Amino acid sequence: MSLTATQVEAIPEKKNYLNHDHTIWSWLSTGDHKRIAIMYLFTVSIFFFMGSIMAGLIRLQLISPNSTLLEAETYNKVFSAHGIIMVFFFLLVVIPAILGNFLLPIMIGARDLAFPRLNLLSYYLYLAAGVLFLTGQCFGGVDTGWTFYTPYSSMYSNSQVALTITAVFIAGFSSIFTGLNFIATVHKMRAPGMTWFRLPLFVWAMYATSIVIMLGTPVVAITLMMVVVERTTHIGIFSPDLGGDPVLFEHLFWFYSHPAVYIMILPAFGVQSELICAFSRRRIFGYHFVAFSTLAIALLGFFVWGHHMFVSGQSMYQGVIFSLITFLIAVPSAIKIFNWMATMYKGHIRLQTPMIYAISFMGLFVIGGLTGLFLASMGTDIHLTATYFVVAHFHYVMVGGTVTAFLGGLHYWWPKMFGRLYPETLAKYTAIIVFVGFNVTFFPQFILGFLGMPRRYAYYYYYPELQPYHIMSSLGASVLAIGLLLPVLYLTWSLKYGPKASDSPWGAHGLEWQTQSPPIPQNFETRPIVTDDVYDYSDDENEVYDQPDVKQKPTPAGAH
Amino acid sequence: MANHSPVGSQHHIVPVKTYLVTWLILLVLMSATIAASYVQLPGVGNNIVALIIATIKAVLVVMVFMGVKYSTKLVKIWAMIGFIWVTFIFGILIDYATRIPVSGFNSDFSTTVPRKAEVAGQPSPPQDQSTGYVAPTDNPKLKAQLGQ
Amino acid sequence: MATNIQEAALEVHDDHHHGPLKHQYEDIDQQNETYIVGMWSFLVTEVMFFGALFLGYVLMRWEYSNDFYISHFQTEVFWGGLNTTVLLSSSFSMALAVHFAQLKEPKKVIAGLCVTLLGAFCFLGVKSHEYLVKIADHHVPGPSFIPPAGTTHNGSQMFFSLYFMMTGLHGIHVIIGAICITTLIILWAKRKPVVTEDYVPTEMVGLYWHFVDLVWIFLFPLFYLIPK
Repeated sequence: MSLTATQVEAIPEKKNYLNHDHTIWSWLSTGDHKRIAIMYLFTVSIFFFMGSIMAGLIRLQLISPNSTLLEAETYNKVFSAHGIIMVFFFLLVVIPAILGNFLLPIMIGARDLAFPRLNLLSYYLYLAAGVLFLTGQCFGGVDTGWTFYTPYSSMYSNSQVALTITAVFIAGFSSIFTGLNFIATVHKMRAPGMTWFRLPLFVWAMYATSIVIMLGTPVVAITLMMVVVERTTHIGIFSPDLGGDPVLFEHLFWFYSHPAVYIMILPAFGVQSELICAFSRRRIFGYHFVAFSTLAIALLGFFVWGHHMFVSGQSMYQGVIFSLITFLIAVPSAIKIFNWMATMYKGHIRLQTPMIYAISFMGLFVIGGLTGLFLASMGTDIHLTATYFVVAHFHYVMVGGTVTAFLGGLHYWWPKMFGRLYPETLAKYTAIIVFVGFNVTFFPQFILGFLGMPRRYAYYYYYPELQPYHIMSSLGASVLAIGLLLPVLYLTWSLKYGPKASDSPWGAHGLEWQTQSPPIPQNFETRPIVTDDVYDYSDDENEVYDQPDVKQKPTPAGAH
Repeated sequence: MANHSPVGSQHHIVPVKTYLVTWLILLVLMSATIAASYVQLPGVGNNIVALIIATIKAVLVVMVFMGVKYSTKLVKIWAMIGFIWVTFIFGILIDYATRIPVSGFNSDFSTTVPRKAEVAGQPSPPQDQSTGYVAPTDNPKLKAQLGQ
Repeated sequence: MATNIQEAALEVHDDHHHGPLKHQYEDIDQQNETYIVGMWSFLVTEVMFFGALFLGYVLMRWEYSNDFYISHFQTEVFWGGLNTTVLLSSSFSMALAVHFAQLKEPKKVIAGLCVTLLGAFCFLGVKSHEYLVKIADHHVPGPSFIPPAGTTHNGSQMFFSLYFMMTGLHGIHVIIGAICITTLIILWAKRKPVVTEDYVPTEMVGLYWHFVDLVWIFLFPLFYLIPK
């Protein structure tokens, strides 16, 4: 029997977290971790595009060695805004607050996070911080760079430093509350049978991230607050005018801000582990190694802050020690890369969009990680400090790592979040555009840095030979911009016109694929009881494919 | 929940007497630390005594008043980890202790601004009034270091 | 807040949803343990928060030991000692309040909390007296700062900078604590089930208050009892 159009409309949609209540107030006052994740998704995207516009301005300026697009002072404000938005309002929140908020309770079989109202509070703190930051931008912006080095920030800078730092301070508290929530949730809200070693690696990554947030963020919060106090009331310990020590600021700042890069990259590792397993259809190789290397990175990350200060006048002996520990931290990162590759080896790899992002993550992260070793060794670092080499290095890790992983994760869990599929072919090409655009943008910057192009300079007319590299970089940036704009368009399109997704469109393993798509408000009809191992793809014969354009390959003999 | 230890339903109720004794010990320790500050001990003895007493007081508060002694292992770990991590921040001091003499500790943080010279009441060395900056060539200490 | 979700949960977990139990928990034990873990995680962040300031203190006292020694005579041991006594005692009364909350004796809980609140006000009163004296003596860092005789300008200014920042931050914590305690007293006075049926909210405020006490235990010798 076929249904007429009116009959189809008459069938009520299944109740889920998106449609059980439609009022604006039900969104603004929600305690539901899924709705809060969606609100974060919306807000973070806006900030990401603001930051991207700043990046575009920087790249436009540098096309010519003697550009007149931006005044030098404006240029300083633009790169500061780019850095502050991207670090504090995008990278630190993007995966934990969007994917983590959405998935963590579902993955461990809980009805919600431990403290839903605290979760909502952290969203509003984030929003308030963003608004405050933008207010600062309207009143003239800030020109200190995202690091707020004293005494420039506390004494001399004639821009909205106090307002901006207060915004960052509030954003820090938003991040702390999210971290506390995750820690309490992972410890106490796991479903029966969900032991520590049955946790998906994404949950491990979130847990490790939360510990870093808990131990690190307060330090930078108080440090930045001291800068504000020093700037406004002249009570302080950083400014040499008051007898203080600016290097102390750098120490305290990097004591948090180096671990902060692990707040940015560890969640990406978690997403990566999920993607690799789901699209290689194998249990992760060395689950325990990956889980513990996550914790090892989180904890070791606290003992390497000094490598940001090799040329800041810190003790030579401490520099040597920091250099050594920095080399050490490459080991757990490499363990992860090797384990992912071993997982893919002889797996049934399906090159769908999330997997393309996952593979490009591995390539980009390896380049980013290995160039990190150049910077970790003191001798070469003195040559490369504050050049575009550093810029290229951390963009390879942050954009090539975190953004790529986030895009992969967003595509992977999109059907779960909204119950719709996106156009797969277009998404695949977009993933390739992002990869190509990214490399064209940032690889020339390694060469630029090695040739001596300093970062944060508005002009390079003393060395016009650098121009070809800058032009190439700017060219790549425009390709990258297309690659980042396309997902916005087709993902938004899919919300209304995308084909309906089944509960488990990838045939992947995990509690989040056992609920409805999109999930009901309390996640599960009944409390799940976990009996099987994590990433258990051993009975993989009857896997379901939802993707219209995926043809199931015949299983190669001896693949298991 | 298989992973829970049943602390909520059978939480330990500490008798009032324990709290009372702890409070009295804390007050005694406070008097002790004040008294100790009036005795001149050799070297850094006073600092060590003051810090030891403060640590004992802190441990008493954490263990008894905050109930960590009667809590789950997780709370014990959490109670410790904050204090352990604070000691890692103090690792920053290693830098100041091991700098090479040109900017070493207990000289000046920077070689350009002589702070110790400007004792209250004494004339300070010539400097730019607006910024407090002293030109390196006017700095006697730096001159000595440069062998001029 | 979040009524829709809670109603949705109500349909499924009808039998659970009464009294202080929130919808996301299975039982009150799980909720209590989670609250305690959350509170302790928060206290860890607080420890780190103050840790950075203590580091600044140690570094500056190392650099300016003589100035710190001379400047510290501007803080009076009597007032510091009085405040220490007040805070230790209020911590004691707070512990008693939690004790009686476990035994579900509302009147004694309220009495304990009121004594604690009184302690908080006493502390703040003494602190503002000390601040006023320092303001009158021009010991607030800034353009009007006058260093105590025999100290360098920068060194003594650093001492008072740290003094105001650390005791000020601690004072803010005392004020927040006083607000929490007041709220708790009101909840107990109205016999709200959120506190009377479950001792953990009282316990959490208690933990916070003990932490405030803990910070002062270290601040007191560092600012009032500096040896030569």
